[in-house]
Amino acid sequence: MCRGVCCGGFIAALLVATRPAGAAPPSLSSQDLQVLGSALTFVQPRPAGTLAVVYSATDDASRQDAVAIMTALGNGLPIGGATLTPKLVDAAVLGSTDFGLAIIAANANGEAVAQSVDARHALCVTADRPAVQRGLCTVAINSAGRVDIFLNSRVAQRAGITFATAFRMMVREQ
Amino acid sequence: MKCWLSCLAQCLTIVVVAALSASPRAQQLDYGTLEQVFHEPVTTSATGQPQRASEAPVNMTIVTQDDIRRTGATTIPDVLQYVAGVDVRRYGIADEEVGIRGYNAAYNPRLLVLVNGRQVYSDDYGRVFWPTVPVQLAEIRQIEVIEGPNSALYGFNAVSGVINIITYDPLHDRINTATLLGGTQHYWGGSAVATGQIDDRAGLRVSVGGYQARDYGPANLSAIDAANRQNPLVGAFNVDGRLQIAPGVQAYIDGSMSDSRFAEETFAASFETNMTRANSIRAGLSADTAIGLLNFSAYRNGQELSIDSSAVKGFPNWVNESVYIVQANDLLKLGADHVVRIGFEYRNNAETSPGFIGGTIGYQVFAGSLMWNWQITPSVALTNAVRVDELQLRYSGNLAAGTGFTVADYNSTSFAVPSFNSGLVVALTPEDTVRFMIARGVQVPSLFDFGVQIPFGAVGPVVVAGSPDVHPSTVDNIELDYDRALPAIDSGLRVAVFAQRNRDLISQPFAVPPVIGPTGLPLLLTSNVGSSNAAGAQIGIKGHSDSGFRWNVSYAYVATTDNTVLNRGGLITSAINYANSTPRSVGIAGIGYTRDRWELDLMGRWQSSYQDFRASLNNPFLLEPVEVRNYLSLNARAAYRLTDNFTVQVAAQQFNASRLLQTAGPLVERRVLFGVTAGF
Repeated sequence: MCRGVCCGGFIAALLVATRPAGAAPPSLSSQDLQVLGSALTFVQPRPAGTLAVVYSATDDASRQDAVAIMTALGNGLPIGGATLTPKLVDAAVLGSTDFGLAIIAANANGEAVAQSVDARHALCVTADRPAVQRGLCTVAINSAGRVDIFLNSRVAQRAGITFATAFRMMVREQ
Repeated sequence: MKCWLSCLAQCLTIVVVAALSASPRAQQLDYGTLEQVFHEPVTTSATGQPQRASEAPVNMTIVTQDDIRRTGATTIPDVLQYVAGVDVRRYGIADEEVGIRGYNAAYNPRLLVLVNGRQVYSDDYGRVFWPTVPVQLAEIRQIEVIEGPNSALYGFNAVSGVINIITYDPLHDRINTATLLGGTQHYWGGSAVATGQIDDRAGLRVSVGGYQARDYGPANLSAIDAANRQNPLVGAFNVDGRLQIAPGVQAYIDGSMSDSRFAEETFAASFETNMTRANSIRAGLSADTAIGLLNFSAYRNGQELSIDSSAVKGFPNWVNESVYIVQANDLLKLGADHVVRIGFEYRNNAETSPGFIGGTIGYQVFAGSLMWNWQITPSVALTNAVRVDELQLRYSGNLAAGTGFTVADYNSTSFAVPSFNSGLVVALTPEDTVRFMIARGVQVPSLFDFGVQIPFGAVGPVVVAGSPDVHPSTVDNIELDYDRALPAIDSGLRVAVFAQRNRDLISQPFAVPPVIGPTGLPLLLTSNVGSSNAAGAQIGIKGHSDSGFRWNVSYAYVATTDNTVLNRGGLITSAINYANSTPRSVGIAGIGYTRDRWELDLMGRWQSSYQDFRASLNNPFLLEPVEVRNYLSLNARAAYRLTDNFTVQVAAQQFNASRLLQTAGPLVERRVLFGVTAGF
């Protein structure tokens, strides 16, 4: 167990350290993540534990985006009094990873990832709105300019997640 | 009655069963967190549905706590005077009348004012005793100002507009602050707000505050009016508790008391001093369930009013009033694009006064409402709301002789009135939004309008009486708004044009032409007196910069025409003369700057001339016009944060003029207030 965590931590540190200077901004900005942190108070059950930042190991852009998201998350994602600890996770091993919330980096949304998230009854968040429309993730967030939150209620239902009715009335839903 | 109670009991049973049996949903309307999510204020005041302010299908202005603080104001009307389209008349330090889009007057019955959805206007005249509103400015999260009728959500009296004062949530917001103020006019006041919370399961907020002052000098008043005015002394206490019973299920209880003495301009354009004790108690439950967001609340408002005036010497001068209101509604999202709200309301009020009513007048109202919001496309939303109020009048006591009415006439009076609101919101681009709205609002006759009973000889050779035959007044409104976000300068622009028609205007009996009653006695009777039209436009821009500057500029224009039976033959008996008594133009501008420990603001308000009225010294039934010329009032505030916990401030109101004629009442004086605020 310790070996796995240490190994994962080492890989994460290596990935962050090797992030090229002047890299593209993350698909989910710091502001998007703040919006997410606040929005999670309207989710039941409230996510806890590890926040998996999921990337596709076969896609450099996906990996770089995940690293940028990790950087934006800093020490974690605060929700109320708790903090979710972020962890970089290769999409290929997501099924064997324990997590309470998944942020899917660019080009990493897919059927296998969606199934892994569903199996954990976890909430899936991404910047990729078409992926949410296709039922591959639960929530898409974009706060550049006017805040836009898009929710796929079927995916939420599949994962056993509910959103406050008041919140659902203020977001775009499918 | 029994059927309604039975239905109500069944609804309650459904609410409780659903709340307890359905799978619990997540946390409900938490204004602060939702504002953090959407980066803009949120509201439920437009339709009952939680909405982002920019998507509400009404012309709404949200005044935030920051806005309130920066005005340096000590009263809510003083804050509202900087909202485009809002008219504030200052008849004294404590006596202020607020109107929206004209039609303002003493005892203005056309404005619905709420605190967290609880009515704080008095049913006696449909007026608002602003000093008795039991809220301290520091505990207000936001004031939501809706311009135009909104009776389909709120029922009677939401005709000119609605002002919903939203306080901080004791469960989620921790407000601990105390303020002391002192200044000119011998003003001394203070307030304190404290919040206690147990994790995120329970919260309690307590507030207390009050002030005393020397009112504006009587130089502009008659000797009688000057003698009738006493200096203001106001105090209020409020407690607000919330309990998170389970995820998605909240119970709340709040209560308030206020005690006030202040001089007030009456509908007869003379002054009296009111001693008012008001109290309220409310309890409610909300549950986020599989069958929607269920809300149930019940409250009682009580008020004891004692009038000190030479005009009522010899009368039993007290009026007691109570109103009980029970509300239940279900807010349901159907699929991805439809939101429906079904609501029921029961209201029962009573006013007792041996001197003015000869007994007790009251009514009960049964109301049902339906709201449907349809997100037609991602950028187009249509909201329709309808409501029907059925009113049943009742009276017990001794009617004034000579009106021809019997107690049975009162107790057989009932009517049902529909109202509606429709709004189409089109987001043309992420920056451009257009709203088109049509609405009908309903103003019910006040308890005084229905029930005043003053026998022949008591105030003159005439019988003065209310009428069970008077009809509700209706307001039809059509409006087109355009909002433009200007992100390059962190600003927002709003343009609005509207037209409205007011039918069956209601006049209190002292103002109508006398008739000969069925027994041959002269009779002044509450009546429907005609119609009035208004049309207007508003434009405003508000913004801020990262460097700490903020600014706002707005202009509002309204033109009003009347077609009434009043004030004929050269004699002015009524203040219902909206064409002349509405200032046509109002301009507002403000600029502010925050840097380090300093907060500096300068605000100005200019309005064009209008006609107000004062009571004639020669004949108590006649009014004399007073021409209030256009005037400019400038306010400024400077605040300095001494430490993280202490802030000192100085505010100057109307610093550009030592005295200004703003109404037919006393000249409004320059005021300077010094204050210190502690926050923990």
